[in-house]
Amino acid sequence: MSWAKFISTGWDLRWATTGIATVMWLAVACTSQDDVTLLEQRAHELNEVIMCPVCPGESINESQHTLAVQMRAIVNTKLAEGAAESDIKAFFVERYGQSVLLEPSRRGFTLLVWVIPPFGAVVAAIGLYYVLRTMRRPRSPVASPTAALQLTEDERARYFEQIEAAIGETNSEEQRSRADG
Amino acid sequence: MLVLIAFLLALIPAVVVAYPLVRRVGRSLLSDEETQDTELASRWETAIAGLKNTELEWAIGNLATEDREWLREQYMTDAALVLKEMELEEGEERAVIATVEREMKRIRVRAGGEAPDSGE
Amino acid sequence: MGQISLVIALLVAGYATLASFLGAGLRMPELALSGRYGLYALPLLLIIPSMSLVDAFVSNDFSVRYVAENSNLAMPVAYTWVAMYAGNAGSLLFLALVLSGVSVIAIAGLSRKLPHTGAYAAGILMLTLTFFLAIIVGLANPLERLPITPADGQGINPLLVHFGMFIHPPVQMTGLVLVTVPFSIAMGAMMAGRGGHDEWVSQGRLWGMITWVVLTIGLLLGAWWAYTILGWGGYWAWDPVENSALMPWLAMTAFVHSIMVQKRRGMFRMWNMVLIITAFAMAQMGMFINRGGPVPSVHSFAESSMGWLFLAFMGFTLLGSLIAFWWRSGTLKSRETLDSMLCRESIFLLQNVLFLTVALVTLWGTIFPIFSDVAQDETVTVGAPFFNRVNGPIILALVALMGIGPLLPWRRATRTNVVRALKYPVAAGIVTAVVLALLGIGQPVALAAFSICALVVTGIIHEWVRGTMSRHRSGESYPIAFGRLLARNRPRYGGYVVHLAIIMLAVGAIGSSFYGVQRDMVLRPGDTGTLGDYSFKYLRVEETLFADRVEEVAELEVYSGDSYLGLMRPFRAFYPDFRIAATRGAIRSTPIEDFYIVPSEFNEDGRAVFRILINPLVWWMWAAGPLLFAGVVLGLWPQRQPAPATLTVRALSQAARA
Repeated sequence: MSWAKFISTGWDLRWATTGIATVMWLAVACTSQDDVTLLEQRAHELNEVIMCPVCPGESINESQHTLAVQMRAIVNTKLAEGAAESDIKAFFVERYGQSVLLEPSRRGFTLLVWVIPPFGAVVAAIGLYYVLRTMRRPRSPVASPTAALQLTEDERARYFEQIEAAIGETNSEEQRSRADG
Repeated sequence: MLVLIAFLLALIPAVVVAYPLVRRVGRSLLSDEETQDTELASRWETAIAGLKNTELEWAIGNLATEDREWLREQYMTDAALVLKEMELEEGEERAVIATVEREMKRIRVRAGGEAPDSGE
Repeated sequence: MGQISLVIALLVAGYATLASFLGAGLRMPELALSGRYGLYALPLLLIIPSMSLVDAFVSNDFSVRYVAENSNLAMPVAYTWVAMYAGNAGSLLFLALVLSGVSVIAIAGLSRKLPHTGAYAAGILMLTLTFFLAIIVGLANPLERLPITPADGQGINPLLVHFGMFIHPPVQMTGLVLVTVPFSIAMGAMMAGRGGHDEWVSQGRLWGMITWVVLTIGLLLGAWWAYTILGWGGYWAWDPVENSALMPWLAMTAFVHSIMVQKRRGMFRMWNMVLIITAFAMAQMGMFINRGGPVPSVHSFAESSMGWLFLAFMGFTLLGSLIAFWWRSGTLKSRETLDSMLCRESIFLLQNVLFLTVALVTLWGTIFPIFSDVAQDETVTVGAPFFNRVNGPIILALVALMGIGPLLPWRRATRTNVVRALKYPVAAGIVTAVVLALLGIGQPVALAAFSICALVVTGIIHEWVRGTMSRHRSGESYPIAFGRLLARNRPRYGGYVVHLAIIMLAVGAIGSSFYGVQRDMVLRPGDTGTLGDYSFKYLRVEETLFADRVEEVAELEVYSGDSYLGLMRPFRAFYPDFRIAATRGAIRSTPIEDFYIVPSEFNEDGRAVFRILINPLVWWMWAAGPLLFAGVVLGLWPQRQPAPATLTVRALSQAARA
């Protein structure tokens, strides 16, 4: 469909306008509250990766435990003093161990946790490719006796007529039931 | 008292469970439909469903005409092969029946020394 | 009496298992029928102990240990229902009851047409039920009595005292146990030698979809509950128990799609078997993680060694299924082939692989801490950041596939097809990206995600429009054309409705994940604060003492710009017995955004710490639920098929010869 035709069709224009309006509304909804300062943003991001040691599995951002609240305060103070994210993380690791970080480190044994998924994905992709190739290969004739059956021209014409008739039958059945309600 | 309740409670499922064993209710039907017919019928239905779906998608505009033609060819061929197989089967059946009838006539002739009946 | 009933139920279930398997395997119809009747009797047998338990709760009979552990005199009667499944033993009884009921419905429907398959399926269902009952009778009897009756019970975890607790756990647990049904149907058919015949597929698909929708609703309810009660403004934490419920959901999503290919083309038989075996194993694993506590979680029932039994059962059924699969794999070969590498079928397979990848990544991340402990003696935490980073892109790819797949033809898609089908959706995606970027949406991932959502929606709406137009051309008015289009092709359009609901979910997730803002602030009564367009004034806090808790309710006046929005009352309740504080945020929700206030603490000197959040678009996530359900109902609603069956074929052949 050429662009000229696209624009000249009333319907398409209406749909396009509605679509763009929806997208604009989305953008407005998302950006209307641009109120956080950079410091708050950084603190928030840090809080989400540091775990509250006494609440299993919860970050200090999520937990309302007293310890979590204290740790948030420490993060805020240190950021205000100009510490870098890695320093703050190291600070907590020193006190509570490696497990206080919710994101496993990329060194040593834990590197495995990061490496295996993409590796697995690649293996799966290759596997998928080969499976599809296998499914594509035509089956050996022995497997299904009917595969050897061929249709002559007359047979083809005759059968196709019957099939059309069969479908026509069911179509008219549908139409009849449509008419009935 | 407790024993009585336990006994009654156990009685009901026991009766229910024993019923088929005792009355030999089991129909010989412990096999799911398994005939060549079903296989052919399901292939037929798959082909017809495919044809209908193709029509729908073409009417909607998802398929271009040439794709629709190609798909129709595929599905119609599938359905046609089913029909052909059915005919062959019936042809075979009839051939077998004819052979059996001939044999029987021959046996009757040999047994009774009579002229072959113009037979049923 | 309940206890007796439980023992009898265990015996009957065990018998039904044996009878069904032996009857099916040795071809003895009476034995199989006897097993089936036993199955039918079980729900009644299990209602009795359930009623006993309810009665014990309602009458505050603390001589029953489970009642003493999970309720107290202060608990409102309504929450008795909740307490029933709040603990390990009670939830097991609930599971057993549900499984017994569902088995009856499934087997009754299945045995009519497929008795041999039905017998094996009954055996599998009863085997699972026997396992549950054995654990209940042996280890976790909810009706067990205490030697001394305490004066008052312990009460339930206060976090559970919320409306969401009425529905989320039972729905979630029902979903997990429902996985057994499609599993048993598929395996039953395969074991009966019918694996190559696909008769089981319509029942398998039906129960697969039922399982899927229940699991989906369960997960959505859990997310909604976490969002409204736990007070951190989020809804999914990649917590081990959440993950363990997600994995079977992912496998079932894959299953309900690829089973369609089997229905249409008789392909993917082996794949579907493996898939449903995996789904069942994952559901079992879910129960293990939930009860065994190998990885700590906010969700777990009290730690117990029982979890390892679930793991053992999972291993046993997995092994059994794989052996059966290997034995029967010959019957599963398909005679059909793919006409092309690119077609809807291959997209389905790709989608399946991606879903399983997400599931395996989730599994990997969840159990990795165990490996790490063993390998290097150091505990590592694998939390939300890992899962978001690794699963995020895959999920995005899946959403894109959701848009592309339905637009490609079956059997063979040529380049012309692809270009035709994707023209408008891709254009919409690009336009969306441009518009959003111009309006300030800068984050690349969010931009890509929104564009993909636009692509999917455009594809769906465009087809609906074209379909309606084509019917309109043959004389129907627009509304009727649209209605008839949906009504005559229910599985197809039901699926589209579900996809639209998923996009609503995606939009909500993207908005709240990337564009949520929050702030912690300290306020004294009379202070005001602002966040974004909202301003609020902290009025006062009221403290009320209850028998089991101290409640502090804060009152805040909220304004948006100049207009007064109302009073919001978040509160914090402290339970000294449990030493837990439960916070309840006050939420003001609109389709644009949620405004959310959570109290963190109230100090003696009058200062209070609040967290204020603004979460855009979350409303759409919860609105997606009912739409999703409606889509499934539409898709499963039986459609009158005027079937040109065998009769017609015969008639045609005869007509041809004449």
